[in-house]
Amino acid sequence: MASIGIDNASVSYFLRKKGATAKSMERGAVGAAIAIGRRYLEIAALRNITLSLRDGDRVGLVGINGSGKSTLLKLCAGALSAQTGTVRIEGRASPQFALGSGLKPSLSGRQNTELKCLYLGVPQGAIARHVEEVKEMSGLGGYFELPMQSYSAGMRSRLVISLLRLVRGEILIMDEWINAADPTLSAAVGGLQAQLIEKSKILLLASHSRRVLEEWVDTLVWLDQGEIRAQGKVEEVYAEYQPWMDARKPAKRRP
Amino acid sequence: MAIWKSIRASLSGLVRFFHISYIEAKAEQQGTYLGILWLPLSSLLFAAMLALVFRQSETMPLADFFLYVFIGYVFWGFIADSISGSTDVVQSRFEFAVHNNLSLPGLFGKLLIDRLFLFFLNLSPLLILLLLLAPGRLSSPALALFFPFLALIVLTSLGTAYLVNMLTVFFPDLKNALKMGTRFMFFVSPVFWSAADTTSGPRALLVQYNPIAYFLSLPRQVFGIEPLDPRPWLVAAVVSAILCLAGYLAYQRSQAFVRNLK
Repeated sequence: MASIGIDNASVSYFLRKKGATAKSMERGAVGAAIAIGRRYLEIAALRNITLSLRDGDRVGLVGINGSGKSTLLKLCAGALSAQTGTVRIEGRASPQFALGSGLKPSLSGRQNTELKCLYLGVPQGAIARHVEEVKEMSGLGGYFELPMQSYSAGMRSRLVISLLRLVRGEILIMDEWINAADPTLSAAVGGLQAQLIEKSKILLLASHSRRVLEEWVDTLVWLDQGEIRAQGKVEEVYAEYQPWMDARKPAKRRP
Repeated sequence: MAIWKSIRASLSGLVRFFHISYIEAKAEQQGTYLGILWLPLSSLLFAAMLALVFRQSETMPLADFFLYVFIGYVFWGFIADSISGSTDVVQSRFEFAVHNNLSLPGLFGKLLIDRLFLFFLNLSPLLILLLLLAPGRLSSPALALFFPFLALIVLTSLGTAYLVNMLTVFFPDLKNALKMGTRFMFFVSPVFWSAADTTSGPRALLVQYNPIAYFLSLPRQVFGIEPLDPRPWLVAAVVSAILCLAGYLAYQRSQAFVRNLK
């Protein structure tokens, strides 16, 4: 059984002060407030978050840039810790924060795949077979043997998508859904994504795309300035979130 | 049966991480003809140069002095890596680790395996040389001390790595100071000069009060290059206990915020 229990948790980032800090206090259109401490700048990224996820939950996160979506995902993956409150994670979390995270650009597609297999606990005897499967699915051909840093963005996403088949997590945590590099991969990617979700017990997905969220999640959490502003069914939350977003858009200039 | 299953799982994990270290080390040498062999070869050549240039005493035959320098140099590499390779670990590598199912202790464990892999790789020419030059040393009872030695350096390296990481997070200037200090320690520790020939002067003080001098003596004793002496083991065990305790306390007190320091 997998579960995530967050009770009244607050998370801050701490950055060492460098040079003049007065300019850091300036508020922009996005992001949490920055407080100046004695030695560190403190960014209160999440405040008083309470969230409970259990087996079968498919939860989406929405909010503008800097609202705390990525921080909440990282908190659930164990990549960050809460300064106040409690966080309890049961089950193996599998995070996918960004395209290519956890891979080494200087290594080839083959080497990265071998490493991924080893890190993710694929039995030694099955690694060679998995590597060949990833090679075939990615369609990279000879590029599979070249360093990843020589890949185009599309090639990189082909490799990452093909590696998804190795992911074995009870809690799937994704920051933006990986989009197919090109239409020829769409079917394969869609299949892999569906398999991943079926295998995972909990899905936590941050996205700006209403289509993606409506397709993959049941519940939506709207974050604003590090706090949960609304939580509920996708359509209910969007009924509040969409007008709020529309109101934030600058008025169109008249010719 | 349950114990065997647990040992088997641990061994399998260990093999897995050594395999990762091998792939990463091989990738760093890709494009070269000798590949990963460059790592032990460069240690061998550098130690040979040190032995030839810095041999200052006729009391030790050249072959013995070369073995003395080589094992010292190889183990020095492990010590230096534990210090200078442990700055900014959490800040620069933790996100990569999280994507690969590693926890914070797992990340430090993985980096320790990397250091051990390089240490063992560099030790392999020593074993071949001992077989060729002094096969009797490989059947010495002192060789049984290899596993206590390994346990001691594993714990010390882990404790040191976490302490160094924390210190450089709070005091970034220490990063450069530690790099410089590690270079400095190479010269003031008996890596390429003989501790046994030093009875007076500043070098005697360095041998007596420098904890690294005691650590360097351990593998030399294990491989029969120095006679068995319990004093370095005792000093190393005390230093190791202090570093491990300090590292453990630092971990306990910092794990609530260290991941959030950017």
